[in-house]
Parts: sequence; C-alpha cells; structure tokens
Amino acid sequence: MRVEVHDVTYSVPGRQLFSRLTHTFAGTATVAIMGPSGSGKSTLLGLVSGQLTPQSGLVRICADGDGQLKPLIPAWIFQSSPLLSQRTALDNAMTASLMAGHDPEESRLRAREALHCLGLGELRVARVSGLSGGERQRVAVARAITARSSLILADEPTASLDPDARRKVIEALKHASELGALTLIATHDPWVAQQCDDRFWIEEGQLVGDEKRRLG
Amino acid sequence: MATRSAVWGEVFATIRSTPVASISVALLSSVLGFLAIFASVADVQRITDSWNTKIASGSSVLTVTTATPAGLSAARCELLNDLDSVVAAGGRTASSSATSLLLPSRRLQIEHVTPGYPRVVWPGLDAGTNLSVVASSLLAKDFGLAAGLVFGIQDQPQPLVVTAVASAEPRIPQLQNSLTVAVADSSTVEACLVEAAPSAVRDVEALLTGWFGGPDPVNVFRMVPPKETDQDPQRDLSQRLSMSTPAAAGCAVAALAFLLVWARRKDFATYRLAGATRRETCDLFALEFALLYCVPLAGGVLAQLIISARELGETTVGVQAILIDAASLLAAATTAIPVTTLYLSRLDPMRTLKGE
Repeated sequence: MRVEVHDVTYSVPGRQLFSRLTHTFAGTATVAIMGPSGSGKSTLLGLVSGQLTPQSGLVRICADGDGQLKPLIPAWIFQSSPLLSQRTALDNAMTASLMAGHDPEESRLRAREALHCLGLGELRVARVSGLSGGERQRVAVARAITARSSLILADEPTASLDPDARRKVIEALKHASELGALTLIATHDPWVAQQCDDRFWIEEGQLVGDEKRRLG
Repeated sequence: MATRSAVWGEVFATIRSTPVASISVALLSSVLGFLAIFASVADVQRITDSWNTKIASGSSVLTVTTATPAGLSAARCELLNDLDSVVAAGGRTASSSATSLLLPSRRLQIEHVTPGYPRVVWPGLDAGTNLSVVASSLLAKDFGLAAGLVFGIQDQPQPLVVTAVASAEPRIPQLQNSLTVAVADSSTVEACLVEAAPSAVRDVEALLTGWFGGPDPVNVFRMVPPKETDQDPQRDLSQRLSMSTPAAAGCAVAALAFLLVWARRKDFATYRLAGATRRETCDLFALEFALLYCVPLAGGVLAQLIISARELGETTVGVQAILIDAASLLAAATTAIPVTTLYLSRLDPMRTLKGE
C-alpha cells in the first residue's frame, strides 16, 4: 500500500497549509500525523482521501508494489464520527463492510469481534442513540476496522475517550494495520503518537519525521 | 461495491429500526391515496348522477316533426338506431284504445310504435330485452301484468304477450297508462324521437335537419330545453375541481418525502462516508421511498378503486376519469424519486456532516 503525495500545494483563505509537499506513506503501519491546531492535519487526511483537491500537485493511492492505481474507499474515523443513530451498534459496525461488498454473515462476525475488542460486546444490540459519546466513537472505530479497507484515516479518534477506551482504540487500529491496513492518525495526543509505528509533524507546510525533528 | 441484496438489507434494517415512524408514514401515504381517489370518485359520481338525472328527464332527447300531413318516414327514423351517436330512435305510428279481457271495466290505451320507440321513452329498459309489447309500471300494477303474461283484447282475434314491464317513469307522462306495441312495418310516424349520446346532442341535432329529406322542412327541438350551464358530461368531468386533488396529493407525498430525506441527509452522508457510492445512496433512498410511500399510496388507491368499482361499473366515462386521477396521483408521487435522487447525488458528505 502506498500513498504518494506529490508536490501538493493547498491553501485556505488567508493561509497556505502546504507548499509543494511531497511525501510517501508506505506499507501497513500506523502513522501519527501531529501538529498544532490549524496546521493542516485534517486537511492532509482530506487530501489523501480525495475529499479535498489540491490546488497543485497530486495524491496517488497505489496497490502493493505494482504501482498500479487502484479504486479504494478509505475507512474514516472522526473525532465525532457520524453514525446511523436509530440503528444498533452492530448494524453500524457492519455498514461499511456491507457497502464494501463483503458477505453479510462475515461482516456480522467481524463486527461482533471488533465491538468485543473495543469493549462494546454487551452493547452490540443497543441503539446508537442511547450510547455515550465515547461508546459511539468506539462503534465508529469498529465500523472502520470491520470494513477491512487498506487505508484507514483517523482524525483525532481518541480525543473524547477515557484512557482505557483510548488504549482499546489504539490496539484495535494497530491490529487493523497488522491485518494489512495503512492507518493515518491525526492526533494531538503524545501517548497515541508514541504507540504508532511512525510519527510526522506538520511544520511550515511540510511533513517532518521523528528523527529529523530530533536532529533539528 | 455493495451488492443489491446488501442495499435491500440496509433498507429493511432501517425500516425495522424505526417501526413506529415507518408504519405511520406508510399509513399516511395509503390514507392520502385512499382519500384523494375517494374525493375523485365522489365528484365523478356527483357529475354522473346529475347527468343521469338530466338524461332520464330527456335533456338529450330530440323530437323531430314536420309540417307534412303524412308525417315522417318510419324507416328513416329507425335507421338512426344504426348511428354511434344515437342511443335510441323511434316514433309513434298510431294510438288506439281497447278493452282488456283481464279488466273489462277499464279501457286500455295502446300505442302502436316503431321498434326503437320504447327505448327512447323508457330509458331504464335493457337494450337486450324484447320490447315488442311493453307495459308501463302503473298499467302493469293496475292490470296485474308481468313479462310473459298472455292476455286477450276484446274484438281482437290474437292475444297480446307482454314482453317487458317498464320499471321507471316514462319520459312522456301520457304513456304512464299505456301499452306500447312495436310494429315493424310502419310506413310513417307523426314524430320521430331521437335520444342522442350526451356528448353528441348538437351534432345529432344538426344531422336531423337534413336526415328525412322531403319537400317540407323539419322542426327539431329538445324534449327538455337545455340550461345555459349544460355542457356535456365529458366536459364536466374534465373541468371538475377534484381532478387536481390526486395531483396535489401526489405532490404532497413527494414534498413530504423530500423533507424527510432532507431531515435524514446526515444518515445518507454517513452511508457515503461508510463507503457507499452515490449510486448506492440513491438506490437506498429509492427503495425506501418505494416501500414507505409509493407502495402504500398505490395500495390506498387500489383499495378505493375496488370499493368504488361497483358504483362506477356502469359509467365508462367515470371509470376513465378515476383511472386518470389514480395515474396522475402515482405519477406525481413517483416524480419525487428522480428529484430527490438528484439532490442526494449532489450531497457532499463532509459538508453535510459539518452542517454546511
């Protein structure tokens, strides 16, 4: 899995977020994207997903090794992820997998497993509208994991969680990476960044790696 | 890409997860369909009844007379029965009175007529009935007559066989106490009565002025003078107020559906973010809409059509009008599918979820 960001420039009114940014995310890893508020973490995920279009440059998502372009729907996790509020936690966890064309029974099993890992096994038949914010967030994480997408984009996935739930979410995301997903996590949380395989900071419109930053 | 069964499964799961709302919406749609067609049926029935009354009183019956002493050709008068725009035509050739052996104390009025005449004067008579000897209802009551009864007439060697008894009042009051006897080989009639199809009265009226030929001009006049507001039933049906009811109800359903989709736009955006394509999101909506709105609406319409089928069975024009109303109702409601699909296909999930 390769995500190539090539010579990307992106501005919002009054501010340039990225200037000729070039970077490649490769492999099946968890990657933390850090930076102060407004630095462009969410924007970078938006550019990678195709939700945002760069003013110049391009973003390519390539299949493993062969360099071919591949239609890919990334799995999203937001700080406050949208869910189908009238449906159960299990239904929500299955949605992305069903929409990806996976077998319903297989999707159900995976969703149950993901909910169990995230500490929501007992609540799987509860309506999402009756869950707390933290529980809802974990349902969204379960949905992203169950979809088995090769690319997971997580925008502050642990911001509203208590330490135990936060740990479960990161473990689940790391497990997804072990199963073959590249997981990009935009976060402010140093603990979350520490758990990831790679860490990058956004500084002056560029991505700066862990070591480079230390040397700097 | 989601499979079709996955899309169906999502739709059923959504409906199952909100049973009260789903059943309410479906019930509302079916009641709306039922009432809209009920309004149409009631209106069509009113117009049909009003025209039946007019027709029964003779508003579409034309009387043709001539100044020629011999009268009009009976054959030409009967020939009018072959025209599509003529319901029935016939004339009276002679009148006589006789004494019935059934009730010798009372005289019996006998009208000698052409075969088409009884159908003009008694609109309720079935076209398939043998109308050779028709007794008025009053006469039948007084003399104890019934269809198939054979009775003798004084000074006449052949008895008469009553072939039909008129159940309704005759259009000509003088016939209330008469027996009409059809005579096939009459040569002339004193006047030719012609019942035109309600929508063709003017055309038949124009035709009759030259129909009989002959040296003397003919007079054509209506049995019941028409009112200024009288048009024809087809025109009344096409101008009725209830015609707009089904279209309005269909638009109401479409608007309601659009509003509900707008209210649920975050759910559809969520599906998009969960990986559903634009097409799949539109399919989700279209199926849900069809199940919750279109099918119950059609069910309500069908229920009303079945209930009113018996009442409308005999009025072809009315049935056509009702079917057009039903079709326009369903068409208006179904229009919501492409319109709302267009809205959904343009939905930006990120912006929608941010509330923009």
